Amino acid sequence: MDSRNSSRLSTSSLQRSTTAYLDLISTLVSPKSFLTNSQRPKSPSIQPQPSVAQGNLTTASPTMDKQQPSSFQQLEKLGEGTYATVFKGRNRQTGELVALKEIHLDSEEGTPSTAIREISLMKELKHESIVSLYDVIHTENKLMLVFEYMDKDLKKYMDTRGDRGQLDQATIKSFMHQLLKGIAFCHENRVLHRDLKPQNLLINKKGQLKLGDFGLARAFGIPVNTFSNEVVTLWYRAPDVLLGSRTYNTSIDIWSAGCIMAELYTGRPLFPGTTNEDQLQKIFRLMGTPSERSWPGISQLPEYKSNFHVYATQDLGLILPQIDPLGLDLLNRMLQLRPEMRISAHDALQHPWFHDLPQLQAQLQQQQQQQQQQMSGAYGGMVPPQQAY
Amino acid sequence: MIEDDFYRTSSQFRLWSFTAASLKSLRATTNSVASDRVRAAIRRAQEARRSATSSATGTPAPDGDAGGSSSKAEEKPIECLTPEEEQQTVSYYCEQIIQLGENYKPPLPTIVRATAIQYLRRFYLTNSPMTYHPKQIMPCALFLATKTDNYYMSLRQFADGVPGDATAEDIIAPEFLVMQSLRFTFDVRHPFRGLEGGIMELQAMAQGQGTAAPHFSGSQTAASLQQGLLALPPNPNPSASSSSNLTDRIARAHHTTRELLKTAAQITDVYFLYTPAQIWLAALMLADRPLAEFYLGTKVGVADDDGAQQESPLAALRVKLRLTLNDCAAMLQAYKPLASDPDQMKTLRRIIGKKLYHCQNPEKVNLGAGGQKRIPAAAAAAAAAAGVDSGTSGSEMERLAKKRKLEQQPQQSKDIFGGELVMQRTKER
Repeated sequence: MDSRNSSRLSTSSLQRSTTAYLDLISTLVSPKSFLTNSQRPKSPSIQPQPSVAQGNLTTASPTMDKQQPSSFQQLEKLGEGTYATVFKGRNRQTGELVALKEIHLDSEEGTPSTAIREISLMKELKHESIVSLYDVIHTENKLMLVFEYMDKDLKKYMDTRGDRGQLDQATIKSFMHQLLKGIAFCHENRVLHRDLKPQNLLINKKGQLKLGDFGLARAFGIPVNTFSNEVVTLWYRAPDVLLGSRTYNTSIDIWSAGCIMAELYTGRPLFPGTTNEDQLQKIFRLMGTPSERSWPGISQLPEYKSNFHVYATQDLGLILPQIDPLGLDLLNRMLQLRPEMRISAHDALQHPWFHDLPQLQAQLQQQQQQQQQQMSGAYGGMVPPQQAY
Repeated sequence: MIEDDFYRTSSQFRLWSFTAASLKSLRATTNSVASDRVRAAIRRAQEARRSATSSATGTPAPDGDAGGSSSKAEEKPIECLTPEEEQQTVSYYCEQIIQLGENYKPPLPTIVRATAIQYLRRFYLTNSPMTYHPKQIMPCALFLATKTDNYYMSLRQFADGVPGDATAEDIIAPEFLVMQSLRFTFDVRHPFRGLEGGIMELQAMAQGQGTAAPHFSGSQTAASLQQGLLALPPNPNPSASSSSNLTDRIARAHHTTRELLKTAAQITDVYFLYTPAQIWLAALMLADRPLAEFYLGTKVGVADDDGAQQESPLAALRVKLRLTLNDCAAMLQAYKPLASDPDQMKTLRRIIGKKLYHCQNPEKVNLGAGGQKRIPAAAAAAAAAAGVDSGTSGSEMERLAKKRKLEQQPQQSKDIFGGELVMQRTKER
């Protein structure tokens, strides 16, 4: 996750349409004037301090604008990682389920920087397609992040839901739309997710998909130290990053989204590489080996080799027989080798493939009601590995 | 959504933006709450000392006896810092962050220092230097900023750059307290990025490659923008050189503006009162007013464009923007670095070296030392702040007070950041 995507500057608004620009004039007010009206932000008052009750996490939250103190009952463990353990929890007042991400503080460095960055980003990114951080609370010697509860991650969802992992058209379209909405919001806020993969996308019983895990990314390069019990995955990494580009931008998240879209259709990762070279080879075998001609400047990239095996471009439709022509068109726009050619999240959301989404969603809603009944029946024994918070 | 809508969703806008009046009143409240607590805590410490003395000598200590009246005589009223003095103290330590950043090789990035300064300033909106001495909070704020701004550094490495004898443990001790006071919002929106964008635009215009704002696409062309720039009157700023080269002029304005953003914008209240875009535009106006006016004109037009129709939304915006930018620029211009101003330093020596020493809350001196673990320290502090005094017995308080005396008196000259002030005071005598 990188909020310092300096290639996009605040002047970008100037390139928007005239109407948007003129809207600015009617809505823009100096802080002086808008802060004095009734909507001015609440000034931080002397903050109530959290206290620790035995066995319970209690907080008179200074971090949320809730007035009521809330307390959480800690339920079963959902997942474990190097810097956090995730538990299911229940809000004692409301009965609402939450995910409690407990940050280990035993390091020499105080609060891990990954946790600091995750909190930092989650405090800024409030969107229906991004998992919500409700609160940050502390106990004796640990820090607890309270997230909205999601039932499982997309990987687990595909394993349990689909036909050998494959999902139906309506679900795929709905998930892709939500994924792209979340990505578009990040990008508008100048944040790159940089680690999109099915394990980081969370699904709830309402059929909502949300981006999770904003804690693992680094400023430079792509994180390699994911959770210890997980294989470091290269599978969703863009070719420009694999080739060693340091000037990558929002297009790297679009590549990941493309890989995920294909996986929704087949139930299998599109490019399951084992090493950097193998990953590139798997990509080239399907998408064709790029050259200076198809990708000017590629030979300057650090990991570029002039002796890459030359593959011809394959038709993606051949390995995705279920996909319709419009879906295939969108997928091809996302899986462009050359980063500048990849479609933006904003434009992808306008793609004609999504035009029939409202009808499909109505259909989907019916299905979900049936599923919910099934799920609640099987719920008792299920412990989804929810590491993606 | 437009850029301003995004800014309005930021925590900087939601939690850390104020009017001048609301900022003042918040500081006054913080000061008065802290002053009451300091007085109460010092009274408790004095009482504890008295009872310890009387029990040590074996003399019964009857209430209201001779002992009581004599102790009343020795009690001087505690003089607390005023909100203005608190602000000066915080500003001094903000300047010290800029200095401390130079101690590292390579020096800490501007953005890390700027974030740390804003952390310190935000921290002291709801906390008083009387409660938590800035010399304890400042290194922690800077270390926290290295984490948020992705400038990885181990605590040990960081501690090595901090002068004085603060240990890694001392530096990290108030981390939770700082995080909590920041309300777990660590993202600071700086004006630097906007400045870079504006300068890129101006350079493009200078090279005849400028693009017109969408609503001016009829009247502006790349060529007209370039001509407009070439026709600008020279920079009236006396320190500006007279070179007629446009690229140089923009580069100089860039440099001067950046320096203002690194210093004046950090140490004044502009982050609390204005948006990042307003801050860099105001700084650009101080650096090269004609250039800044021209740039603004390309976005919101100039007065004679629509002289006939003053009612236009652009005209209204222009008036509002001009007032705001002028106010912000005035605030930036009024900034004088404390360290290079003998008068201000004299005042600071009185405030930090003397007054603050006597009104430091004795119950909050030990944030990390004394075997307390990091989080419990913060928790204890939090409990105390909430008015729960249970854990600290009278003798414990006395021990703390003594320890503080022992620790502070002989070590003042080595004191990490207050030390310099105290040393200078001694020398002057």
